[in-house]
Amino acid sequence: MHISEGILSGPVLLSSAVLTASGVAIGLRKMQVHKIPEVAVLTSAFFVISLVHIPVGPASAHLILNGLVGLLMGWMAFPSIFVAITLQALLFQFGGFTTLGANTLTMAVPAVAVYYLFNPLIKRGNNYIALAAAFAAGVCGILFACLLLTTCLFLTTKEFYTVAKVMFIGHTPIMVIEGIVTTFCVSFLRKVKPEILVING
Amino acid sequence: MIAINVRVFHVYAILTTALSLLPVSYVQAHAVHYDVLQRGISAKISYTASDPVNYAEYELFGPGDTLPHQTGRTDKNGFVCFFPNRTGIWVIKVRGESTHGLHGATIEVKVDDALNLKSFNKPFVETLSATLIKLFVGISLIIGMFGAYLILKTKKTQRFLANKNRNGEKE
Repeated sequence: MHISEGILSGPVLLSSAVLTASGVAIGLRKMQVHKIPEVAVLTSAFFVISLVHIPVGPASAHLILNGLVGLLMGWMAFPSIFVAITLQALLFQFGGFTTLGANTLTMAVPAVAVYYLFNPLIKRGNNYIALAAAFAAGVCGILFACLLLTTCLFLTTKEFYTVAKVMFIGHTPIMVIEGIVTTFCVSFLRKVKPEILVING
Repeated sequence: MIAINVRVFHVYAILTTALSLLPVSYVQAHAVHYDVLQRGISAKISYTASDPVNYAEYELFGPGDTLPHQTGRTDKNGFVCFFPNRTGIWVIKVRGESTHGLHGATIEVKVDDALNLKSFNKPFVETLSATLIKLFVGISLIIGMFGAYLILKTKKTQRFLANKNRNGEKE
């Protein structure tokens, strides 16, 4: 779900870069020393998971895991996703350097939204509520990212409808898979290391 | 009378010859001739060793060209074929699309005086091992960057605590 160079208009690129810079600054301020190794591990996972492709009909889509990253890191998802997307652009030519702001924004804003929506339920709710919230977090991470990407395209060109439709259809199975993966991860972490789910956002 | 007839005959002869040549030139202007040669240069473009960049848009520029010498799309197997007409560096610009967005590649092909392939800029071939190396490099960079940030933040915290203790002792 990377936006390539030359697609978005100048104002959209500039405003998304400014918003991303603000998000990264907030994320770095909120990053406590003991959380940095966890952020590094989750950033590595986010960086690697984009190479896991899942066939969807004649095409294929890749996992993103921004829902899980948001649940576990809150605002710290911004610097994490920014670093991972920069390295993806540098090493694999995914997206581009001028669209780093837009690409980070479309992934990190859903992550932060997911954190505020579902982290309290996972922390305080019983096991069933926590697992349902984890599944919803995985689904919503991708859903919100699709919506943001559609907004970016809408602000650039009015001929976005077909692209948006293809993107939503192509990512529907990914939403379900990410929901399942997030549920398993949260279930495991609640048993093994529940303190990782408690963060200061 | 005879002289006039001879002149008329000459004019008639010239006109008939000219008219008889007209259809020939007409046919020549619109005929399509072809020849099949086992020559030319081809480039194979791929994302990985087993994943060709097929049906992707490309532009080919000759040495010093500002307008493309040739445009089109790569074939089913990701090939671009061209026939250079002069020596120098020929540039192929390919734009492939995958699930990660558009990917660009610029290939420089050196053509010798005999219009044969001399050399080309060799890419970092996307084999499985190359992808793994990139992944390893990426993960190392991530851990290195956050490690450096951890050291900086720890030092800053230690300095802050030391100042706080010093101020506390003075009070």
